[in-house]
Amino acid sequence: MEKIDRIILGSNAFEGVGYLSRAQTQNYIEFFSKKENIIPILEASFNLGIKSFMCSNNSNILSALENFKNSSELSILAVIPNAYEYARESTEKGVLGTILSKAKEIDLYRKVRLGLKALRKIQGIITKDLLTLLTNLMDFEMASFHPYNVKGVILHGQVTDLALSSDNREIFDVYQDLVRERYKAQPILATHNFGTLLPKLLEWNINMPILASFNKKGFIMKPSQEECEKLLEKTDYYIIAKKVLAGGRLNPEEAFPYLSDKNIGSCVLGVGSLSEAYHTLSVAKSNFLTP
Amino acid sequence: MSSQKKLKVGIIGFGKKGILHASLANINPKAEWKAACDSDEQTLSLMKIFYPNIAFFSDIVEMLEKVDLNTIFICTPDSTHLPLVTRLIEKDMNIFVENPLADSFTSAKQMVNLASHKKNVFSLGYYSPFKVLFQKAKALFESGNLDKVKRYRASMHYTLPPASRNYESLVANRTSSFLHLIYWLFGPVKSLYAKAFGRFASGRRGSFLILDHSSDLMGLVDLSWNRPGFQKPAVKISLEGTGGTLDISEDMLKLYLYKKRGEFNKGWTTMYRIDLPSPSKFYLCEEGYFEGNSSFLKSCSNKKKSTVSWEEGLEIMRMIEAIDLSIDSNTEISLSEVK
Repeated sequence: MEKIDRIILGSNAFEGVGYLSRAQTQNYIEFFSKKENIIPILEASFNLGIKSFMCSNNSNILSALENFKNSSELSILAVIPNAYEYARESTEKGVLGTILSKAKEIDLYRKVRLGLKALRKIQGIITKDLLTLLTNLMDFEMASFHPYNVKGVILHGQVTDLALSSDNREIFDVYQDLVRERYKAQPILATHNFGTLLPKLLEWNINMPILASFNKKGFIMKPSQEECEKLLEKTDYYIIAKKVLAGGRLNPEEAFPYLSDKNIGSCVLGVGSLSEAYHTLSVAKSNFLTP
Repeated sequence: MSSQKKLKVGIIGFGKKGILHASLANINPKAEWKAACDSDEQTLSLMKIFYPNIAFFSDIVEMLEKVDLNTIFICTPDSTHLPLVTRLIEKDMNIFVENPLADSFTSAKQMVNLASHKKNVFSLGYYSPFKVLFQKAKALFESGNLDKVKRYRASMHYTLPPASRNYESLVANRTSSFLHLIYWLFGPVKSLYAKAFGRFASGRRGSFLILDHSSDLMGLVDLSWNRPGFQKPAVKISLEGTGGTLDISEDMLKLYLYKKRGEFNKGWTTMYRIDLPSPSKFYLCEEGYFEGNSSFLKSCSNKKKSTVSWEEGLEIMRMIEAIDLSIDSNTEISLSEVK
């Protein structure tokens, strides 16, 4: 497995995702609708030595990356699909139907610019198998990340958990093979259900890094904080912790002591302002940087 | 539970909610998802690839003939609910319908009448009763800590997705969920007055409502679905009592008491959803879905009445009918007159 940095900057706030209150979410949506407010946070994080950035192909984030002078030096962990955007638009036909509709709506100029020469295949996938389907959908999702150094590709938690609940091993097999062979990157699975996913992966003999919630409050640690912690203690899987600050209910000084004695390889930290970036990332560096 | 005794689940309408219910049923040891039906051929073709072990159909009759099912989730637009239920009711099925119950009060009444002769379980997709923070809010309201509560203000603000193809369906879904939350928290409404920009369910901007509950509680409600920045519906309810106030949202409760009551001190107490223990064992999309789905399946297994009944759904449709009547007549409408 390729080495994954110990601290990763997350992008939830940039995409208007917050857990503390709707007011916070609304502030994020407004504030980060301007790339000028994202770039200083990328800069601060980079200057503090955080060189990994986990993000989806949200247009505000891509625009900020385009204008951030050190973007070529960043290791990108691409989250696919951009589930928040699809969830918002996919009211009738679900994520897959919306992806197809969006693919069809893209004009020829953009298709060429994005390198989507094979887009016609997406429209014709209804006669193809799972491998062809996933290849084309992933090509479509990954096209936006083409200019960057994509070190890992993270399957969005909602998609992982849907695939998990359908008990479909093939989706996971095809996904990891595609990411490794086609994008030469590390496949990673995000989940909200660590305690269900890990035993299933063990049963299937599939080993990929897992991005899951781990925090002192047990926030979105399913089926329970206790069961997740027990599994974490024994596993040799590479675990990346998310929701470390429990959606903002823990300050960094409270949050990191919980992580430091756990079997956690990396953590993802989202920040909602420049001052928060300096505070959170500095505390993370002093408490979590040394394994 | 042996596989013979598992509930055999079919899904009608395989959009976002259909996939959600299928997935949640599939991880439930009491159930087995066996089939799904959708009118869109492209959706079916895609899903056949992702779910190779499930039988997919474009025709409901064919699905019911070919697959042995006893539990159905209806996740199609509300205008289809009555015709589907009419077809399913004779097959002795447990039926879960996504909200609202129907596209009109008349259709909803027919559905409840049809179900009243059957011993199966009938439920619908209102998820507020399964959310821990709302449960806490209801308990606080009913605890009497606020003393006499005479009024509340409530709002639901939402940004409809751009160029939404199913505008009316989305508004009906979000609005009826919100009205159900109010009904569940504060009980039945005896009369109401409504003002809207356009008709209620298909209005272009929103509505103001004054609700007079049977308990003599009065509520002033503001609904808007065109406010930017609300990608998820934002609910706020502020209760005023002689003993204090309570502000309710999806993320936190703010209690203010004029004097110490039980575990709560005088002054402010804030409770965050994040801090409350969640009983949910599996998380998909958001809190409440897993609990709502598994509560229905548990009721089916135990042959007991579901937590959220079609009768409740009918009461919400009665409110919506009264709102439309009030908007049209510009008068207060008594709900007992809506029959």
